Amino acid sequence: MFFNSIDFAIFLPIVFVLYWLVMNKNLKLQNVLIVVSSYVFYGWWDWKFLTLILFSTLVDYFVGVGLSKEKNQIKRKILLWTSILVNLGFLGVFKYYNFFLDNFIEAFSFFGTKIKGNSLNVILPVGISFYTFQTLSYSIDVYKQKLEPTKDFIAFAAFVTFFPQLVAGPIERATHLLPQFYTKRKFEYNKAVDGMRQILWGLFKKIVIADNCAEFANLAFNNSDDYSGSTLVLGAIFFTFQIYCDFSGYSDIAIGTSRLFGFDLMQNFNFPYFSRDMAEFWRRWHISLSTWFRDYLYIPLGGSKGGTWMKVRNTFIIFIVSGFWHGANWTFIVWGLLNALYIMPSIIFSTNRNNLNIVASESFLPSIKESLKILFTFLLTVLAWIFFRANSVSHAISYIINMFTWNTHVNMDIPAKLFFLISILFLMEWIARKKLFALSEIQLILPLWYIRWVLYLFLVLCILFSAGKQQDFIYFQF
Amino acid sequence: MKKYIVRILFFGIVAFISVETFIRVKHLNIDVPTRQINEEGIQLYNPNQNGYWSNASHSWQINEEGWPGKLPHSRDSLITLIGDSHIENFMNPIECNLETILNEKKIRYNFFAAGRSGVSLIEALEISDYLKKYKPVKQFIFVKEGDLKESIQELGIKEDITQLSLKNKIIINGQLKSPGLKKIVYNIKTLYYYKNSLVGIRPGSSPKSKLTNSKEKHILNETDKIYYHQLLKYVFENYNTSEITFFLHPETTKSVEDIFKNNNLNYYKFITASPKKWRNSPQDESHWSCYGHQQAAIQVAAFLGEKEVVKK
Repeated sequence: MFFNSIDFAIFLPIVFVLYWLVMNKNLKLQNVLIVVSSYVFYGWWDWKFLTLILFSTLVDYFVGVGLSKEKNQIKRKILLWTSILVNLGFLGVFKYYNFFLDNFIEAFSFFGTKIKGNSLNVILPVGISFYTFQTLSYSIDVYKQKLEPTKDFIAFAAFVTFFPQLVAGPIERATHLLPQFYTKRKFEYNKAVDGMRQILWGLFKKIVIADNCAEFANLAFNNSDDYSGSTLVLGAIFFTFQIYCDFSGYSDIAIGTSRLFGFDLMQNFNFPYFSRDMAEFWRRWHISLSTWFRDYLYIPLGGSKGGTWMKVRNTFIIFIVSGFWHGANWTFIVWGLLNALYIMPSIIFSTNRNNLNIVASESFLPSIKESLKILFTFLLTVLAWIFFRANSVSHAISYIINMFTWNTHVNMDIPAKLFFLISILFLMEWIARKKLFALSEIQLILPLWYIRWVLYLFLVLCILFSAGKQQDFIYFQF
Repeated sequence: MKKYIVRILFFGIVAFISVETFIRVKHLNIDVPTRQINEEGIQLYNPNQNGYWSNASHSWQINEEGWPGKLPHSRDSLITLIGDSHIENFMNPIECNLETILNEKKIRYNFFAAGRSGVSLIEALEISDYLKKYKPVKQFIFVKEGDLKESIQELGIKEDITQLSLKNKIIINGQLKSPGLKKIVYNIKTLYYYKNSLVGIRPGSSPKSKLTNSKEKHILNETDKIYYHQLLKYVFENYNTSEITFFLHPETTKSVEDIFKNNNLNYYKFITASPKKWRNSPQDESHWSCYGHQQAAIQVAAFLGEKEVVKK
């Protein structure tokens, strides 16, 4: 089920009413409802893959139970590795098997040996990278005794499958989300209203900005030989907005929906395109994944404790793995590598923590220096996103080469309305840059309720009448 | 909780009113004319209505006789033009209607169009009988292959379309389908606007709508051929076909054309080297563009230039 579908618009109120008006007296029942709803939500797309989630849930639950009883360190390690191998095994089979096979065949043929391999004809289960990482975090945290293993299977199943964030995150840490399933949820008016605002803003970003930008980005990337350099630059910028609004829009809807049910999910995006350097960008982009890699890969590898060389090595590893997490394609690996190169100067010169606060925190407008830094960082990300979007590395390179052919004529019909809508996005996010999302605490800026409602209605009308051609959420494929 | 639900509902109502107002002000929907079935059992529009095509690109009007388009200035030497949505022609401005173009040609005839979406061949013939009250000198019925299939009940019952039961040799008049529900849906513009998106079509972008219900092109099999032959035999035996000429769509297949020929019906098949240029849109082969109507009018005028309709 997609958040931007009629199905979800019907599904959500039904679950909401059952949750608060029918099952509100019983925590266990509420958790059961969440599990059932989540299975319906996921099964709407393809019920066959529910078995994968169920299997993953069972394995990690029993690994947790086993870890709580087991004192022997070797046996504990075996249990942990069971969880890691099962979860990564799913990823390996469904996501990476064909990639490795193709590359092995190509590598062997390079040396003159022809080998045959049977590639798998399977579709990638939606959200597999997200929920496997989430359950892995549970096993690792239990192993490290940071978290008490749960004995409540329903609560654990609800944690694994929680429908708002099941298929595209935020990737929650068990230490943060799981305890929320143990405690009685109380309906909070302000939280629910804020949740609705975040859903509205997420829908605006996805349906209005991302889907409209996608049309032109797709045109540019699919016909990159036919367009002028300036058109291709615009195409890359449109994709930059598309991917941000698509993914952060999804996160907003997920977080907002969770709030309707009394849950708090972690912030996944923190206005990344207002970053002044790449280190800041990566603190603000897909925060749940970046911090996951930090906690479960970067730090176990030694983090930054072993001097500059170790920092450099670990940073490269993190970014390459992160790229590979996105997809079994060299384009993602190059994208990760490029980002590692971008961030490297700040790692070497230890300037990566220079911009910890938000830009222009004391004023409305940034200084000229800050503006230039933001612009430069933005352009670096635009360049990297080309690899992310392109079909192959050679396609990305030819796109970039074509982009730099000097031609200012834009040979694509782009409606002025799209620039207007992007301006609204930019303006609203800039005003709210110190908040959690653009409409968060909007009552402080617009104290009169009817003025706020005019804004909400404007966004509703934009969603209903300025929608782009419906596109799948990009991150579903990961 | 109560406060929250009340506010959500209230916001929903305000949003609904805003959306409804927006759709009405911007004319985002196709306005759908209301219909009636008259005492003779003919389904036609309620007279003197007008409305907009999607996005207010142009308007349509229903004349005082209950048919779309303009009435001729005179009923002398009258020729009736009968057909379904491609004669109704809501998707083009009224200047592109066949009768408008022909009436402006100042040839010796006056043209009266009786088009309504969903008209089958058998219903067109019923309409031709009904229009005899105007004493037309000729009657032209515009036919697409789908109109034949829709006429035959044995090939699929369609309650809102007038059909012939070949087995029983009786005509079953079409009924207004869910008129109450339709009235609600067409009057609540938001509902109608999103009805299309619910069935997987983006609002406003669909080449097919209630008013342009394109008929499926079907592959003519032997069974269909037999039925078509029986239908046209029935037509020849039960209607005064000597005053009727069937104008066949340019994309009509040879086998269908032959069935008309074999049943001694007067027909003329439109000729074009580029039928796609006639289409209202590349996907919509059932309806003509303004260009298509102009070309059709030229051929109708040329056809009338002959002294007498040639019996094929």
